[in-house]
Amino acid sequence: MIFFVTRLFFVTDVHGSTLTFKKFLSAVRIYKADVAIIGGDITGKQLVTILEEGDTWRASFMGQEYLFHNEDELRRFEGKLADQGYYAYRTTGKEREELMRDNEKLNRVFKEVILGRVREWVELADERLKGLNAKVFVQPGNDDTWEVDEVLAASKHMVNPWGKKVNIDDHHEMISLGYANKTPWDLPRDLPEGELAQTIDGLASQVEDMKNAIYNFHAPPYGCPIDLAPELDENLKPKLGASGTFNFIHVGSRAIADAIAKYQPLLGLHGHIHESRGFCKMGRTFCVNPGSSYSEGLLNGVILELSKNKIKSYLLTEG
Amino acid sequence: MADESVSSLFTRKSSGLIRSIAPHHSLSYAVMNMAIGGVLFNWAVASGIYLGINDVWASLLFLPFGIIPGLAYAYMTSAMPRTGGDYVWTSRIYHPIIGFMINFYATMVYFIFIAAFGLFAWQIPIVGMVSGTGLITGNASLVSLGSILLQPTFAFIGSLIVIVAFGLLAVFGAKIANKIAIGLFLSGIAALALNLAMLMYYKSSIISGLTAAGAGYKTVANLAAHAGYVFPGFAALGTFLGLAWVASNSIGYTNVCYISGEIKDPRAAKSTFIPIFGSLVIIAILNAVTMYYTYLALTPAYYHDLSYLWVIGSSSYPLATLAVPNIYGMLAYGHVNLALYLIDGVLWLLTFASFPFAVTYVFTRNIFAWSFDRIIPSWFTKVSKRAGTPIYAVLLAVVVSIIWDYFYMYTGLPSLLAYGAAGWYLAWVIVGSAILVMFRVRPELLELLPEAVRRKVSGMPVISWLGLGTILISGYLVYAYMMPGVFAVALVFLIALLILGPVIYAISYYINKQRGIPVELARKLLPPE
Repeated sequence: MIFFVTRLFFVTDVHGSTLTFKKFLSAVRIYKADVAIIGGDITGKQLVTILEEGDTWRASFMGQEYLFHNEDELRRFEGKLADQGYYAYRTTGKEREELMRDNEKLNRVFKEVILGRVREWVELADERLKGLNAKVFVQPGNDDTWEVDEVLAASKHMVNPWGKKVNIDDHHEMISLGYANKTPWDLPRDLPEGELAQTIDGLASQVEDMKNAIYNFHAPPYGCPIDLAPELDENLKPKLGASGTFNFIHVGSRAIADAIAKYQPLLGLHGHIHESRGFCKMGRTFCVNPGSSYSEGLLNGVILELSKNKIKSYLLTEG
Repeated sequence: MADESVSSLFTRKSSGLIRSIAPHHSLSYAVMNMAIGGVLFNWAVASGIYLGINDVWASLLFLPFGIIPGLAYAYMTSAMPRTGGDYVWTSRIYHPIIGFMINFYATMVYFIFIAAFGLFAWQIPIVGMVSGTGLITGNASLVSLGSILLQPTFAFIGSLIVIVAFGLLAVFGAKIANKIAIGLFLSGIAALALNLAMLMYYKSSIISGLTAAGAGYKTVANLAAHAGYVFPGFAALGTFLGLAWVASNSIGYTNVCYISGEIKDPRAAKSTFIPIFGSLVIIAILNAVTMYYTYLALTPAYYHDLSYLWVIGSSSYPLATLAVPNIYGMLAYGHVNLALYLIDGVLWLLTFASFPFAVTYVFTRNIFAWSFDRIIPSWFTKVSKRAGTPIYAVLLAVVVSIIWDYFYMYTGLPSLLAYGAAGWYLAWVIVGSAILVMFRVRPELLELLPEAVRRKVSGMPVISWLGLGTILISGYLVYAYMMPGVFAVALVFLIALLILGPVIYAISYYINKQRGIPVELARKLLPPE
């Protein structure tokens, strides 16, 4: 008798960190994953300008001043920034002043560096995944601009499953959405709960075998312990409770929670809330959020072994 | 959007980027993690054990001792802000089994303190209000009742009730408790202020009352001398050893490291450094002020003599109504205003109750982490839907605290506390060693740290020197706790606890492997190439 098992490795929220993306590619091989998924938020948030000053380059980062005398030193610094999810941008003093005043110009620069990094990743992945028999899915999340999709589409070995139903093996279908419910930052891929619910229903209707289905939804379901985040005030500062600790509140999506309650798929793969690493059961659905420590160069993930109609095992990893 | 305060850094509109918490907020968190109520009993232990200790100076001298490990924790946290603190650093630097060992050990030690606080809550404010009311009103029955309630069996049962009550509150009242927790903390300040004010105001009548009760200056001095103790005046050695008891009062000052934010920049570090050092300063001042006025009211010799008689369990200890010689219970001998006395008692009781709430966050976080790592069953992470609290994790805390509470019956409170605190700092020795060797064993982690501590001095990075300092200071504190005498039962128990962690880890590893779960991959470092 042959026992069918698919080993699935899921990570999320790498946020532009080249080191964690490279670790993801290594993990496919080392963990012997049949399926590997990045669940959303693949682009970074911050840009560090490096000023050209004659024969030298200068940057200020994390309260420290850096001076570079040659290309090697500069590339090492840029590599270090990339590992932590930052974007390095070589510029002049004049341009930097413009960036500080001109939001549109800043957005254009961001777009340029973000897409540049995604292109590098696509090339790297195509090289490193060659010959591996794994299915690799990389989905943008609510933090990622729409232009990223076009760059991902060029990959030979990674598939963007956004808004589609895919078969990850002979028994498990996966539907994917990188939207999040509305956040205080009001991002392009934030969606009101009503629209999110409709979108999910539309995708769910494509699933043939719901009891073996996987929901790869970037936002976690509301009310599960994997959606706890510090409550923020109007200045986006964490509110402290009376005990001096953060006030953790549920920030997940009600539409996703309702959909999971209604359809009861086998598995929910979620991210979005980096500090809410963990799992919970909603009825028969096992929901997991591996969290994210991308800025420390750690790849948080979860290895799941799926057989027909059940999850044979799961293990949260930190590599 | 340009962040002009850091001139090279630009931030785009994206979720999750939150500003670090304000230093004064994290300071309040840090102080609430420390036990203000400890001032009522720590000094009775220290004064009785360490010959010549100057409690006021000892309070202040701990400051430089506490700074080194505080710096080490703060810098390590600034590099790895949200990933479980010392549990994760030690796991990454040494091995997950070592990380679990120290984390399990430290968590069990927390439960010792919960047990101790249950006992003190019973003995000091609860029974203190009963017998104190008797003393103030001249009701001998109440005084007798108080003495009965202090007997070990009743103390155990009484503290059991208190611990279970704390647990029930933590499970079912967490939401309400969070709203009033700042009030619970402030009640400690109010309790102390009121206590010291009454101590000074009623000083003469307190001394008269103690004398009438057979516990006057000369009587106590003679009793102590008969038991082999003569207060020698203040001495440097006793003071330096006894500062360990400020250390036990300060346990938790680094817990703020677990709440740092996502943004790593030097300004964010203020949210870590200020609460660590701020809370150390605050607790040092609270202790110093308490003991200054205690000495002023009672005289150092009297307080030390009395503490000695208590700590050795002498049958000559003259104050049957006071399980611990404490400045709250002593007020009743001065026939102070009854209403104020009872108000102070209630405030102290609330102070004791606040400690378990403050530490609930830390130990439940640890239990969750063990459960996610498959070391303990996953049902420990189950959260009560009605109360929104991790019911099984809190239940575990209550059960283990009760076990420690029972253990007190065979060792006594001073040794229970001493060994609890020693255990905590023993865990720090191991954490310090991990920080020390990090630059050799895991140099890539060093890269995450700020330049200020990556810089080398005599061939070793500054952070490693801080790790070495942590080892030496923590090791010294362990020695200071153990120095007065080694209690075999307690020592065996603590060593067994140290071994229990790796045993649990090994068993869970074996069970998981049998189930086909690839646990060896859980913390396997992934190569980028």
